[in-house]
Amino acid sequence: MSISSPLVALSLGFAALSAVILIWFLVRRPALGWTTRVLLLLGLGVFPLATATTGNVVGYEQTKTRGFCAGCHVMEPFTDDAADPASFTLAARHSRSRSFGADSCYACHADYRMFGAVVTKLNGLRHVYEYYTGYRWLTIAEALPRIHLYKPFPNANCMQCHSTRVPSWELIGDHAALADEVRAGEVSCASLGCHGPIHPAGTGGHP
Amino acid sequence: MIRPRPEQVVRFAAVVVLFALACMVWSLVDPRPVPIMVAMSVGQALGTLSLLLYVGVIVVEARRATRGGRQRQGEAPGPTVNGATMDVTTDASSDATDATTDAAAASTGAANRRPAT
Repeated sequence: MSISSPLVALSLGFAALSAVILIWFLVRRPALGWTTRVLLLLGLGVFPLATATTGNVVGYEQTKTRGFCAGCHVMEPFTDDAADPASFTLAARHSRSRSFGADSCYACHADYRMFGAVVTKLNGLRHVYEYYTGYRWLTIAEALPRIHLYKPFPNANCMQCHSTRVPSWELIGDHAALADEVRAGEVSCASLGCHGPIHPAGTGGHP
Repeated sequence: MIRPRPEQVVRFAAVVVLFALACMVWSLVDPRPVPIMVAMSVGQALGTLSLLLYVGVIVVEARRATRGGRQRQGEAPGPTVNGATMDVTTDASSDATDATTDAAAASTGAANRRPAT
C-alpha cells in the first residue's frame, strides 16, 4: 500500500490534525477551559485513535505484501524470483496470477485454519526475531543454506485453489496414483519430482 | 509527595502522543517490519497511556469541581428573619419560633449559630 493510497492519506491526515492541536496546546499553553478540553479530547483521543485504527489496517495489509517480506535482505532471492516475469519457478508463475499478485508470499504461506491470520502473524514475529538474532549480519550466500520452514509446507495451502476434485487434476497419472496421500498431506505437492523446488535453484528450493 | 498540576500532566500526555504519532507515521511512510512493529506496539501503548492520563486529569478535575461546589453550597447563607441569618442546620420549627418571638435573640443570634460546615 503506497503513501498515495486513500487509507494512508486518511491516517496521515488524522495524525496531522492531532499534531496541530497538540503543538498549539504546547506552544500557547491555554487554560484548561471547556474549549481547550474538547480540543484536547480530539487531539489526545479521537484523532490518535483514528490514526491507530487506519494505521493498523494499512500495516496489516502491508505485512501481506512481497515488498514487506523483502524487507529482510535474506529473502531477496525468493522475492526477486517471484517478481521476475521471465522466471518459470512455481513461485514466479503463481505470482503472475492476479489472485496472488503482490501478495504472493502471504497467499501461499499463510495459515488458513481457524485463527490462521493470528498464527501467521505470530510466525511473522518469530521471523523478525530469527532475523535480528541470527540472519541480520549474514550475507545472502551464508544465509541461504540455513533458511528453512518451521514445519513442512502443508498441501492444504495448495488445495485452497487446487481442490484435487476436478477431472483435469485426477486424469494425471501421478495425481490419480497418489490422490489419497496428497489429500491427507502424506505426500507433499512441493516435493522434488512433483512440483518442487518451488523457489529457484540456489535458494535450496524451499517452498 | 510532589503532585503534578493538571496542566503539567496534560502537557506530558501531549508530548507522549506526539511521540506515539511519530511512530505511527513512520510505519506509514516506511512500511518495513520494524517500523510497523514499533507503531503497533510502542506507538499504541504510548497513545493509550497518554489518553488514560488525560481522562484521569479530567475525572480528577471534575470530582474536585463537584466537591468545591458542595462546599460552596454549605457556606451559603440560610434564610433570614428580621435581617438575621437562621441556622438551617438546627431544628427548623423551634428556631423559627424562637426567631419570630424573640427579635433580640434573632438579631444577636450569632451565639446560637453553628459554624457553617
